Amino acid sequence: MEDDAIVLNSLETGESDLIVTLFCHNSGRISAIAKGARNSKKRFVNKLEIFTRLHVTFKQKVSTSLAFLNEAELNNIYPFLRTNYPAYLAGNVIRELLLHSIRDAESDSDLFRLTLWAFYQLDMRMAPRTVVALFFLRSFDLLGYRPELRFCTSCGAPASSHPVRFDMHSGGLICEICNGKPLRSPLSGGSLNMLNMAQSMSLEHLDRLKPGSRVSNESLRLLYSFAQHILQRDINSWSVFSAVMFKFP
Amino acid sequence: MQVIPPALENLIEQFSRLPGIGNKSATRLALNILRRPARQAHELANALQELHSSIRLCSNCFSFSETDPCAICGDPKRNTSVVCVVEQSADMLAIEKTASFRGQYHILHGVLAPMDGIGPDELKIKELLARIHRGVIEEVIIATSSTVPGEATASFLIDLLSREEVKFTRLACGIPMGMDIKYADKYTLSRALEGRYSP
Repeated sequence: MEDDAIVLNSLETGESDLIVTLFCHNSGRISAIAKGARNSKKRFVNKLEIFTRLHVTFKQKVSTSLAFLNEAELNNIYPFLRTNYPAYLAGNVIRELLLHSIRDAESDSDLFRLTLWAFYQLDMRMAPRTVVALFFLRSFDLLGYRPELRFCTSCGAPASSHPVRFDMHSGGLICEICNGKPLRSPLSGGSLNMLNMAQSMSLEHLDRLKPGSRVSNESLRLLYSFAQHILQRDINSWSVFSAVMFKFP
Repeated sequence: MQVIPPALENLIEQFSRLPGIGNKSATRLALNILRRPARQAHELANALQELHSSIRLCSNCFSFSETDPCAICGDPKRNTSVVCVVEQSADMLAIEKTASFRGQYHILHGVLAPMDGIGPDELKIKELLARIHRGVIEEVIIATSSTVPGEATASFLIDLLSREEVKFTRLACGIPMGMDIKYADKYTLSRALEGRYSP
């Protein structure tokens, strides 16, 4: 089988082999063994690193079994993503979310395209916190957890009519009236506008969004909390990423 | 019913904790030790026991050593003004084999790996800065690997060192000796062109 793939993880095994987790365009997530990958001077040298975009040839008997990687052709290594610390941290948050949220052999070409978009934007030096926030938002949509950001999920009133907060359990906004008491820190209008635009814009135009650091930080914190709620677990990379991203206002 | 004797099972479990050793390999190793004379098993046990009691980290470069300072840091012929920063002790040994570096080392004990919860605080980075602040070091050579985590760690160090009054350099990256450039990937070739020199 042949496919375009992104390397999400790479583990050393045995004397010279590697087990790589690939996110493929058509085959979804697969785990594949690359025999002799750490010794090979021809087939795999330097290619099976995280974030790398490849064209792979592999054999797989059953869709859920370990595949056997035959060949890998390098398409993109995203040079800036691997040599810039904040971009690298953002890339790690993205790949960890993918590792926790996609299942073996379930193809999702839109999510694959979104991942390529995110790595490309990080490589093109787009602000890492913006890329992560936009990736989170759009991936929730593709994973079936699209947050409701236009109306109150309880009474249906437009978000613009009252101060609102984001409610994890309902996956959307709750207005101050339905909340029953005044909101201490309602979601800012800037963040709400940015998130709404990010939901509706086409992927090709998403890079036009350039939110300020206050809007980015507020959106990112909200979306990370929602990711934790959906995944029912933490994203390990988040602690190092947020320590760098939220260091400066 | 207990099929495997507890002592053997315990050894299999201990072996299977090692990197690259699965349950099958651990069983094979444990059975191999059992088949050998008891003397050899005692020698292995003694070697393991002595490991932590006799080997410590050098307080200067943080390499594994039986003495503090280690043989390299204690060698008066080494150049103390140049420090080569590497990920692991094995990388230091690889550079030592070249016999072309006569400075000292600094072992980070890993690379930045956020998914494993390894950030700057988990590496010996503060200790590197403390060494620089002592004022003896004039040049820091960043010799982390050219892998993704190695490059990201180098990027972090470059950012940090640019705020210090010290010269810093990054290990060159390009075509290996004996390689035909036709077979080099475009990224490696591009890095080799960027890092070209006048002979």
